[in-house]
Amino acid sequence: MQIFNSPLFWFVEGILCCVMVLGARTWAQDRAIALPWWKWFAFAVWVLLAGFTIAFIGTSFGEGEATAAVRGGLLFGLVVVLAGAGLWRIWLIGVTPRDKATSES
Amino acid sequence: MAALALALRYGRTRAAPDLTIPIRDIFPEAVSTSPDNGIYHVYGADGRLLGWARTGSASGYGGPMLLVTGVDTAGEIAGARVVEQRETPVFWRLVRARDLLESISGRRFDAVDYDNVDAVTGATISTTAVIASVRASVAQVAGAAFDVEMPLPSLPFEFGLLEITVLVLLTLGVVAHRARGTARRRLRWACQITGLVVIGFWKDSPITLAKLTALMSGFFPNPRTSLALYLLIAGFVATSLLYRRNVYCLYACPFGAAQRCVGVIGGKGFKLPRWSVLLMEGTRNLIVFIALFMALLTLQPALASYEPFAALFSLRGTTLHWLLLFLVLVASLALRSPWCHFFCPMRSFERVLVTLRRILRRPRPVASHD
Amino acid sequence: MSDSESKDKLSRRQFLKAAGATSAVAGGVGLGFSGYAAGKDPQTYVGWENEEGAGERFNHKRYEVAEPTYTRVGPTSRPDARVENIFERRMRFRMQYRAVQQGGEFDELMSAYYEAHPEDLELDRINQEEIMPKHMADARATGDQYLLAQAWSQAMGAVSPRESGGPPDEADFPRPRRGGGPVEPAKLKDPAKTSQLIKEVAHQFGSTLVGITELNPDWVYLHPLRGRGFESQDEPLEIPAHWEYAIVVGSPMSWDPMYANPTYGTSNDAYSRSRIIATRLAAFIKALGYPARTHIPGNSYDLMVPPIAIDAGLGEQGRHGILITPEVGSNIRPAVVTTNIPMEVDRPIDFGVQDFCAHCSICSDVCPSAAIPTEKTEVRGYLRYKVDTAKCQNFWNSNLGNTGCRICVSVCPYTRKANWLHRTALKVTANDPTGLSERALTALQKSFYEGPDPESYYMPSLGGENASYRDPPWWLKTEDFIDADL
Repeated sequence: MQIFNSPLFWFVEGILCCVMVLGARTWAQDRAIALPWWKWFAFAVWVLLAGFTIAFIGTSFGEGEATAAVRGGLLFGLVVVLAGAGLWRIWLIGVTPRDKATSES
Repeated sequence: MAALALALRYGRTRAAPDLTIPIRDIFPEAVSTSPDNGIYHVYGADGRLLGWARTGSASGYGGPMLLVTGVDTAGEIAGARVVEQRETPVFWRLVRARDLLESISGRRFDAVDYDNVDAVTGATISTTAVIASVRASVAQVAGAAFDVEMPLPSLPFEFGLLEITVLVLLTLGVVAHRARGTARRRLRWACQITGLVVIGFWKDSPITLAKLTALMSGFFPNPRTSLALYLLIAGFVATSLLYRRNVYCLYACPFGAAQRCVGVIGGKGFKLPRWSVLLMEGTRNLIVFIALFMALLTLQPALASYEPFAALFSLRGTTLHWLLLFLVLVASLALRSPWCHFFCPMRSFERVLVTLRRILRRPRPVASHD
Repeated sequence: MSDSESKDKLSRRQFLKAAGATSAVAGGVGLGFSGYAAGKDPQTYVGWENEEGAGERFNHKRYEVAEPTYTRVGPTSRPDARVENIFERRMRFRMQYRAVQQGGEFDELMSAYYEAHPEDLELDRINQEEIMPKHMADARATGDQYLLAQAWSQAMGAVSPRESGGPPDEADFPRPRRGGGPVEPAKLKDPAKTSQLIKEVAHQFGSTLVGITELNPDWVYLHPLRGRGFESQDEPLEIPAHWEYAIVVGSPMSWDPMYANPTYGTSNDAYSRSRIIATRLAAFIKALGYPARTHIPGNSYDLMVPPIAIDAGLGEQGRHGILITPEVGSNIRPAVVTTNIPMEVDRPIDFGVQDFCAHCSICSDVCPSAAIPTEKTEVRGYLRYKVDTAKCQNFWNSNLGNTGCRICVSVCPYTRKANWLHRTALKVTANDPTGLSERALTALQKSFYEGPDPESYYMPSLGGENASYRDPPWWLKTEDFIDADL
């Protein structure tokens, strides 16, 4: 468990974050989705929200507060899912159905 | 229906407390009592009338408490006893209640300054409730036996933003129901958003099964403080009977509005096939029936409250409520109003009312309708 | 572009996408474990993470205010501890009650007090006649069920320096050096530097928090307590001129037993540490040639400690009547050293507790004795929350295990581990002027951190279940270690 408090962990976490962004960008390019700054901003907010939720659940279990972990997970998880659906729509702004069809073919 | 009535009946008989012991405690010479319109006439060995006793309930610290108060023929308060309470014998509370009751016994009913009885010891939730209950009982006896009208402190009539909103939403709902097309759609959105903000997040006072159960089992909240609830229910019943669809669900219900907002995020959801909707409605009716049955049987309206409204609007709820909230709102991304179809008691009640309407109206050839 | 090249390129893009998705999952899982580690981390138990204190720093400067957050509303007076201090009054009650039962009367002081507070007479009598005998019978019946908790409590109380006895004019001053004359006070360069020095050595002695203030005479008892070296309790306590400053030190109770209140918790661990810190600090000051007097827990005080801690910028008063600090919430057992060594004083802080407590009331809702008020009242000229100590102590005395109760401390939303989650919540509420975050967070607190009903804290003979707020730590569970008839 000590590893998760170490600087090395956060270094790895940073690398993973970068790879994730790269992957998302590649995915968007393949679908001809334009990515202006505000789409990335929404993405960042959502990632923070999701990260918070996961960390909240972990921390609450670590504290021995299982009820808080479950209820908090459900509440914040709900927000994350709804915001995720919203993010999906935001990312697809500007993509016409034709574009979608061609990129998916 | 019959099963529910039976459950209620059983619940009430079981809950009826035995009053002979506390009444004998208050009137040591009592031999028999005869109830008359809620007031017990207490008789001694020679058949002499000793006084009157009446029960009154109060919400204490840990739940409802039942008290019985006795007034003798001279108009003196003979005493008052706590008959039923769900509070554990926590010393100070019992002491407080005992002291208070002793401090008023032996005095004429109209010589007690009810507002300031507990001024010395300091008012608490329990003592205030105890005094209010005694006062209500004494007022009943005073009116029936002494023909004295004892004014009870009237609660201020609550008429604020919530009540105004409810009235406006119900009216607009009726207007919108008669409108068509874009006007109707816009009006509905405006009403629902207002309902979401005011009836939901700000006041957290939608109609709930618990509130309905309380009404069904005969516990009527004071209309002065619960006007909004009565208005909503009246609007619900009236429009269900008139229009076959009620304006509460469509225009005022904050949870319905929340589902619709989530639906907007989800985009165009898909419509469920007819058979699955029928299945869902059947399941829902069963759930509502079981919840109602349990609540009426035990006379504990809280048992029936499975709606996750408070979890959303006030962040209060059990794990089950949170889970339900999560599932329903996530489902709202893809389905239309899953709560109404799957779980909501109001939709079941609406159907019952619509059936009632069909029975009431004289039969005529069924025209095809929407 | 050859076919294989484009295929390579495609697979590179596919790889990037797959790697991105994998990274997202791995990163998320990592965050979860990291959170788990943060939740478990013993370093977040402030005050117990090391022996030198001050492991956790909160920027008090940012929240400094000119006036403390309690308000003065009328003419003020000093408390008469002889009847207003619950321990002192109950001692007098015990001594006089038998005579009263045989037809005598309480002495003038007690009679006057009970005249003004009849409810306290009732509560004191119930304590004596009903609760104490019941407690004895229950303690006998439960036998060794809580032996480990009691052993831990006694062990923690075993190291406990003596209080400052003797008249202040003698006992507070440094003793003359052997063979030499009176001790001259050391020439100090600068009050600000002295403050720094005093605080650092207090931390070195193990104090988690330190604050310095000028002593407000309103907090000094009107009459001295027993054993404090004053001639008579009937004579008013004249505040010595050398009680110019008050240095407040303090240490938290061990966190896990504290959360397992009321049965398993103890005050003795923090009491012992606070006594040691204050005694060492007084010795340090005396060695510099200045007078110093300790006021230490359990009941060796000439003054009330929480308001002094508030004046010294350690925290604010909570609804439960005691101190709430940003670092350890209410889990702090402070002690005071009064002295005249020239120092720069601290300023009180306002980190939003008054607003928070106005919305929260969790402690008041769950207090088994209902001793915590719903509103502030005027007490000796100050508007503040006042706990009904008689009700409170009646619950203590009805309890099994280590008698006492710290439920209000353990349920307080401020009494939480010092991890990222609770620290963020603290900062948000401390800086939010709208009060919205307080409402949301208290609602979540009530929903997420449930505890037993107030009633279930009572012992079974009073209709309860002898519940604890949280499970006791494994090392306090007697049944797992000792083969006894439980």
